[in-house]
Amino acid sequence: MNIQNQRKKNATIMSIYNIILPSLSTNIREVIKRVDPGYLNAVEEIRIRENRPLMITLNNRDYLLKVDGNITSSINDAYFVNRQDTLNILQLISDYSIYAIEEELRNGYITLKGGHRVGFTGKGVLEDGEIKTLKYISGFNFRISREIKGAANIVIPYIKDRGEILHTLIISPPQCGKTTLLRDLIRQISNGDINKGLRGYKVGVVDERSELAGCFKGVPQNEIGIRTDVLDACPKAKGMIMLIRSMSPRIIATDEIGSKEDMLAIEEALNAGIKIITTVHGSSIEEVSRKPVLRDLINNKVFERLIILSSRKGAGTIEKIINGKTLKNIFN
Amino acid sequence: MYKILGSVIILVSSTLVGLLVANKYKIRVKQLKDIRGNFQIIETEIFYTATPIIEVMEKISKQARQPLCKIYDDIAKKLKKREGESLGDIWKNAFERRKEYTCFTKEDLETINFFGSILGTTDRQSQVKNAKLVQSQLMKLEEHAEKDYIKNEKLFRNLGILLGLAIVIILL
Repeated sequence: MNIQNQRKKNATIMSIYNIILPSLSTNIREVIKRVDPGYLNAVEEIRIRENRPLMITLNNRDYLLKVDGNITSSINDAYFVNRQDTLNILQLISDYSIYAIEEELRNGYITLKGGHRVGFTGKGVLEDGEIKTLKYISGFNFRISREIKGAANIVIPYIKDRGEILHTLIISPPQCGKTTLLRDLIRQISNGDINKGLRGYKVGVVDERSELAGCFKGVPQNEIGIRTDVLDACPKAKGMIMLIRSMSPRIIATDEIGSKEDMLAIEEALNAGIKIITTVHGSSIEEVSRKPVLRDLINNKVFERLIILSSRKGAGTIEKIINGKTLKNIFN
Repeated sequence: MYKILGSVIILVSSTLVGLLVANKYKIRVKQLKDIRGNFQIIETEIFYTATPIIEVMEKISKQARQPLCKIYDDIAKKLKKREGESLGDIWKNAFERRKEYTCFTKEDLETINFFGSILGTTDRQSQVKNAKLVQSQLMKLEEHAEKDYIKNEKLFRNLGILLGLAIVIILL
């Protein structure tokens, strides 16, 4: 376990050094390099805001950084991000090619190699009331992505029935490991495991926000299973229908459903005999049922398993696994 | 005997210098044509496939002729290092460093560096607009260069021979 932990630790730090650092401006790069590796390993976000102090967040708290990489509580000691930094970062994350990230600018984030995401803010340029692009980009949020293999181990036995995977909905508040759980579920179902009586299934993933597979130039950066086809950055509903028609998946997985179009796409998938695994924001069935689309899905007993997460004992705590037909908790 | 040999050497070398100077004009025309062609390819890559600039530079460094291919290669390598310099500066320095291999005038380089300074900094449509503008400027420079070439080629070629002859006559 220790060795495994060590390896995981090194993987995060390596990934910060190899992928995150080259995307930062030279000044900020030097600061981050000097941060204690113990902190760096636990970093969740690096926040960069023009004319304001450089920050990192870990364990849901933020810390200001000094030029020497140490943490400080006084704003005056902190490294202040300047215009050169933000210009530099924009050039670097776009590979010096703003024209190549038009779509990303519109969405407000970009996925780096390794599945890390950078969100940004600036001034919106509107056209016919729609955001055409952003300019004067001055704020960045580097989100360090971590894969937790085995996150779905506990759940797997509950979501299969005689070798078939069941329709599953993961209900979770933000930052409780919803995406991490879904990602590992996809990986395990796709790879299969004879020891667990699980054969590998073809899984189609519609990764609208590039969070599940963390695709970089169309290639998944996260381990997402050997039988998984990923449609990156596609709208969920359209993507699901595309996958049904083109890739003959047995299971379709997507993150955060909620719109009417999603509902229609799910219906189409059900008609084609495809199993659905998806997630939704919320903390209980009652709360989720307030959204009309999901109320219909739950009332019609479409989902056979509902998994409810919380962060009570750390992110990814499984509160309940509910049988969608009887609405009874089957997890103890 | 030595006198004749010496005169011949002087005559030949001054003629060669004349030809060399005349040839510079010819090379400038050719290089301007080449670079306009390259810019056209860069424009197409940006517009149709939105290929990131590093890949574009790598691609074009394989297609372009000497010495431009070396310059693009320098740019691609420098960009890959991600040292925080802007593309405009990297571009300018790359052309500056290989100046002796090119025959561009100051005016040519201004246009070329302008292209470098806007490359990658805007959305696709503005990139294309700017690329078109630069290409039309290059076209004008090309016309000038062509005129210069026609005018000066004969001049320097003849000047070389005549200068050689003059020296020989004076020395004789």
